[in-house]
Amino acid sequence: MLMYILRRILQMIPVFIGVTIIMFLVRSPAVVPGDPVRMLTGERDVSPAIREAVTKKFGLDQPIYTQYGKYMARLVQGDLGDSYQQRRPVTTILFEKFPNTFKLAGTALLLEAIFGIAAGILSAVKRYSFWDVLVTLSTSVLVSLPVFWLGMILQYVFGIQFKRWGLPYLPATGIGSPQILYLILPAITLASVSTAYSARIARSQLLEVMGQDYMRTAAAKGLSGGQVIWRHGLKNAMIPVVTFLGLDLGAMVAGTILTETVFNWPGVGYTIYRAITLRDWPVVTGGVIVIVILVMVINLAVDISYAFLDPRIRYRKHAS
Amino acid sequence: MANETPSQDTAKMPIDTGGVAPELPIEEAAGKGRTLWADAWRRLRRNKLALVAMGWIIFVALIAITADLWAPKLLGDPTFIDTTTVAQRSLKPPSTAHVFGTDKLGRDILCRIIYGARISLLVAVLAVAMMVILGLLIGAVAGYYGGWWDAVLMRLADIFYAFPYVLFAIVLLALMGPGVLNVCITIGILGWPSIARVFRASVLSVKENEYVDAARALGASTWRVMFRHVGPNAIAPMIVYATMGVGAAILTEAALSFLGMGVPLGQPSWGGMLNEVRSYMVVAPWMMAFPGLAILTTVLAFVLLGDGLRDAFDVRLKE
Amino acid sequence: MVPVLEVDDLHMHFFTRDGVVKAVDGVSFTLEARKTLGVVGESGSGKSVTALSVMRLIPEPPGKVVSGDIRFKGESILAMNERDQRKLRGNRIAMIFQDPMTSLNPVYRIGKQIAEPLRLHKGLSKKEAWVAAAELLDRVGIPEAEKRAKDYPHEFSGGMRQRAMIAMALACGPDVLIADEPTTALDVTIQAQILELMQEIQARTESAIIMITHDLGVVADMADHVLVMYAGKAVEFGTADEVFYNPLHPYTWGLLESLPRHDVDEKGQLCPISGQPPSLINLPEGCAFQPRCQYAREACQRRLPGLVEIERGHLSACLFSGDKQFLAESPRCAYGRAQE
Repeated sequence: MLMYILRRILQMIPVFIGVTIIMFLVRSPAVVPGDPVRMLTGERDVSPAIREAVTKKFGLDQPIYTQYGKYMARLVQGDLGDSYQQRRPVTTILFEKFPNTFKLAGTALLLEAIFGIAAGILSAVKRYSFWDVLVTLSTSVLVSLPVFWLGMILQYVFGIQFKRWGLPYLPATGIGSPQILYLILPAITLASVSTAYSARIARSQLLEVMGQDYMRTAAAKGLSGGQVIWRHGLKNAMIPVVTFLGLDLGAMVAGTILTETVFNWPGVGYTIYRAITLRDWPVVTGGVIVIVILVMVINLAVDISYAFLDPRIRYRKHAS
Repeated sequence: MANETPSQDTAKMPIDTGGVAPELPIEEAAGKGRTLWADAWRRLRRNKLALVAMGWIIFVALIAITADLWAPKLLGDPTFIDTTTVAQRSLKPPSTAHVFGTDKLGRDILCRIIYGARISLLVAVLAVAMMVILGLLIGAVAGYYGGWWDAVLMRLADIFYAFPYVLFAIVLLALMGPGVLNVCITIGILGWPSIARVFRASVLSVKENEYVDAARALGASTWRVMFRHVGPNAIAPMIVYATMGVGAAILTEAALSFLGMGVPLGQPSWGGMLNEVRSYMVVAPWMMAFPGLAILTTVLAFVLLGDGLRDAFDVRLKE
Repeated sequence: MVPVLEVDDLHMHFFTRDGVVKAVDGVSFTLEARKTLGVVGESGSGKSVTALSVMRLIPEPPGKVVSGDIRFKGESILAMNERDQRKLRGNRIAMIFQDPMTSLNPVYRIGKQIAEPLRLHKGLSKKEAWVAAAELLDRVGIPEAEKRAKDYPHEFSGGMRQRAMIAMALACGPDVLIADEPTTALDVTIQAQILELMQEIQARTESAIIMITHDLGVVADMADHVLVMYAGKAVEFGTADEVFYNPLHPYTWGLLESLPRHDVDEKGQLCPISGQPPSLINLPEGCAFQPRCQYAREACQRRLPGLVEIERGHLSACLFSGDKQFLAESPRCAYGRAQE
């Protein structure tokens, strides 16, 4: 068990290094067009003296691997540099914005879990019924839906049109209080596509489980149909579903950028996006690195939790 | 979804699945006088939904390809702005003159959607082509040569995999600048790991298989062996993947264009059109509908077709 | 004495897209307390479906009991509502299945799975049921039962899992235990142990056992009565002695002859029954076995033989079983020959 965790962590390391190399190259003069000194001084022409000072300070005259070394050294200490635009440490900026992203992703995950699993179960239990067909078709549609378009439609209908009609409406953009009102539309948008996936997985897992022998044994013991599914079917079926949800959380954290932009939700995704338009590279690379680390950690946690959930893996040393 | 296999217990009368046939390697199936392709085509034809999807795709493709021949005459130039009449013609709701209405610069929206189809399809197909070629090559090398190559290439795939897709795409495009070709490259570069992995698995499974050794013993060269044996078996999932991939690529391109990172705003693209809508949502809400629907229906068609193809190629499904 | 279980001319058909599958097409037998009935036949002969029908575990579409009756202690099961049927299941009539690995739920501990019927039918509390479960495990021969009750199924060996299944089935002290190929998935040495266990249990309790198997060797050891099935129909029924030493149906002859002989020093030829069992959707006219029967006459194609009592308690579904000359002219089974 412990070996398993260690092995996974070890596997993560080269990937992490690779990611940092790529992000570093992305920032370096070799790749980014433009004069790095100008970038650092806010795109102004500077005197040779200042130019030299800046060059020395940021080590721009040193060979690239030294620069990388320094970069990594700062990285592991938690220093991601300062924002060109805001002249504040990147880490501070990210710290401020991350909670918003978590709130959004967390809410979306909750919605996805509840509705997706419920739809999937209903669809599997009432196979071939109207409900099953509806779920199967709507999941295909949801998967093909551009998320940002859905966001805009929701914005319009519930934010603008409802207001016109004098109905209670939801705020369409930004953040305010009570926060939950502002959270609803973006969370629904973010959750929509994932719900389709989780419903599909829940359905197929439950269908597979329903064909298993131990379900027949349970019925042979005198349990009713509903009891058989509830007690014996669900626990087996949900293990992969829970795993999927965990992985999806990682995907969501990374994918909030579109939804946040549509709703002007001040999270990390939006911040990175604005940083790109403003050419504020430290924020961009810092943000991406942090998100990548976060996703990797979440994936690791999901892997480990899977081992806990499935007794067959947890108790492997007892295997006959 | 779940394919049931028959259990030893005869009590489970094989009603639903009708006694599942064992999976036949291509050679045996061919020996019965039918090829895999003919079989698959037959099965696909029975899937009404997939056929409708395919029809829609062909329809859109035809319109997009032939657009230059007829669209400008009927609907006006998608990019040309007649500055004299802009004010009167802008932001008009759907009418007989302009079936989908006009945008803020007076351009006919239907026309822009048609030209947008061209861009979206072009980008998606090119990107997927790039992704598939790259993925096949890398997967083949990793699978066949194994050892050091395999380790390095698969690590590389892991690194690419770890990057959140959209995020990295945006970063790349920010560096390269917007443009149709850049978008293709970006999507292609980010997509190869999945294809490479799947193909590598195919190669590995064939490599283990004894009949490869038998063929080699008979003197066939390694490339020839790979081609003949890996090829047919692996192509079917590749086709399914590619089809779904085109759908996904259209979505990605739309998202990137929406953020202003993809196709430059001058050229009509579905995602870009949605971007323009944002500022005018309050006064001209209908503008939202058409590009979005265009994306939705086209991607849906690819998804359904991909599903249909996957079912058609699956030799294990009951006839 | 009222027999514990009576199956009376049962017909269970499946209505599918491709046609009507006559899975059970005329099966009758009686079972008394403390007795063992062996049900023999090839795959697809309908043995398992018969058992599942008794348990009422066949989903009712697409299955349907077209005619016939099943009576438990004189009372018709088919006439009962769903709730009453469930009260019998796992409680008075219990079943164990062929593959113990897949028949146990991998995510629950063994003790919990054994305790479940006790809690369901006898209303025991969680604690009481757990204690009872550990006891049951001990009785079926699991060492360190209390400790092992906390294990998961994958931590048990194949034989142990089957013992656990038996414990689960016996939990409520059923009157009838149906065992569907309980040893087929196990090693030969374990097989013997399991069968011994079942005999032991029968001696201690009053349960009747229905042993479904395709292995005549198993039947020979354990069964008081034997029911031979073919293509959904019962073709012969009698005591074990009668069926082994004086079989009346050509299919039974074929089964017995196809047994590899254990007593030869020289190698002899194996005599399998040629051909394949018929599709249950397209049964041939007349006798279902006739296409493969060496002794078939013209009448066999036209008339459908029913299960007829030839001697007292010994029934056969062959048109000619009552004909002494037919029996004398046709070669007897190996066992019969050995007697002469």
